[in-house]
Amino acid sequence: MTVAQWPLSVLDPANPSAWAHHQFLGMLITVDGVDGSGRATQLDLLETWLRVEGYGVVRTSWNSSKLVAKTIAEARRQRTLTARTYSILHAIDMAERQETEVIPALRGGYVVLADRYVCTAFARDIARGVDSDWILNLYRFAVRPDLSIYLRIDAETSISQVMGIAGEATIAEADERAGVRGQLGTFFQFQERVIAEYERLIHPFDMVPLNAREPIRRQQLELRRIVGGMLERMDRP
Amino acid sequence: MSSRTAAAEATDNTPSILPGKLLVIEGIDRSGRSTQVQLLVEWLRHNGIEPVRTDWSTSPHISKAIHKAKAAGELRPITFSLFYAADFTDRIANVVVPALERGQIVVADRYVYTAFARDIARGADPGWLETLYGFAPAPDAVFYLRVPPSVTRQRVPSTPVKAIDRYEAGLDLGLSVDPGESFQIYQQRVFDEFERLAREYQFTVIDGDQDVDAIAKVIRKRTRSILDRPLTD
Repeated sequence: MTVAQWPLSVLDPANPSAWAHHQFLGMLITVDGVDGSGRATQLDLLETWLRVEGYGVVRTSWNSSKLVAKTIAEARRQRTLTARTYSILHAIDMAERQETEVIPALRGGYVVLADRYVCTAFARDIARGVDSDWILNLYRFAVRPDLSIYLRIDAETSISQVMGIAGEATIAEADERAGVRGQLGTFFQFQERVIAEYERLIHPFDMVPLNAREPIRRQQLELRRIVGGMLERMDRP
Repeated sequence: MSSRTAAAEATDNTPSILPGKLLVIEGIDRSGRSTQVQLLVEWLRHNGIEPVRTDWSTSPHISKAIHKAKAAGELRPITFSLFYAADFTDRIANVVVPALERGQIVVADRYVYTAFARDIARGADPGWLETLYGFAPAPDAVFYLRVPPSVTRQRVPSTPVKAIDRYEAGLDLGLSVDPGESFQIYQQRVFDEFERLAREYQFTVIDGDQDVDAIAKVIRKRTRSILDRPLTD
């Protein structure tokens, strides 16, 4: 019989920089940033490169666990949930993926690429008015990333990127997403608040900022340089 | 007067003093809790008071997902805990706080203490839970029906249970391969935790191993003094 364990609480909300490193063989690389900052593009390119270099790669993405996907989607449509309940649902998603995808892969020595991680939860929820001590405490179970990348972009550019990909309809949807219960004003203002919160998290969470307004190729080369250097230090093939 | 929060640290902008009253009934599974909740609600109605009742795991947005995940046996200690926290948070925001703000009486079948007891029995850190649930308004009374697991084990569950509930028996924790034994060990852990919480949060402790009317009488007496009204039996 498998014994289910409570995940270790290692993130101290009062002192995030003392967050303990994991002891698994693999490596956890997280990429945070607002929608339209190019996360998926950079992760696709990084994944391809890592595979060519001979690494086993596992991708995991925000809000993809089937345990809560439907509940979150419904809540988003009906705007019935408060910001706090919404945060907990996202924490369930992350906890579930951590236990079923991330930790098994790290244990097996894989490089895990996470599209959004705890800082995305912190930035969004704090921007929605959730108390920062409370939200940091909620994610105390999270595994510390070995490398945390922040794709830095301004609100205007990120929104024009999102519209370029999916057209006007996306903005209406984004507005909906921004305003749990719709009390938050326009998406642009929300996006600016989220960006300001990300900026505040860079230092305590040891995020490496990349300029997401640079050409895709230049960002990718910089990302590979950082990741490559780290893999070398870890003395792996 | 709900002037404190249920846990040690207040982390919300919930008004510190709400005009309503919050009455909580706690106890382990099969302690007679639901019966007493029902009796208290009926008695208040009989006295012309329409209370707002809130039961554990009944948020229309969350509870369906919990039941589905439980039925599939998919929950781990952390996701089990967070699902109930989401359900609780939703009920606090949409049921409990609005009712207390309107000055109504809220009767809660289980509160943060059930989450504390179960999660700590599953290995959670108490400090983590106190902050997680720190926004909840503090009850005006917590009636704790004390019945040890050696007694509840003999009782027939009030709602039909298909075989044995995997989580109610702590089978997810690998305490024992025998469901009966696992139930006993897990319920004992939860009971021990309730006993500790009873001291820490000054519950009104009621011997739950006496007849239903005797228990109801104790609850009514204390409720009268909290509401400061002469209510008839």
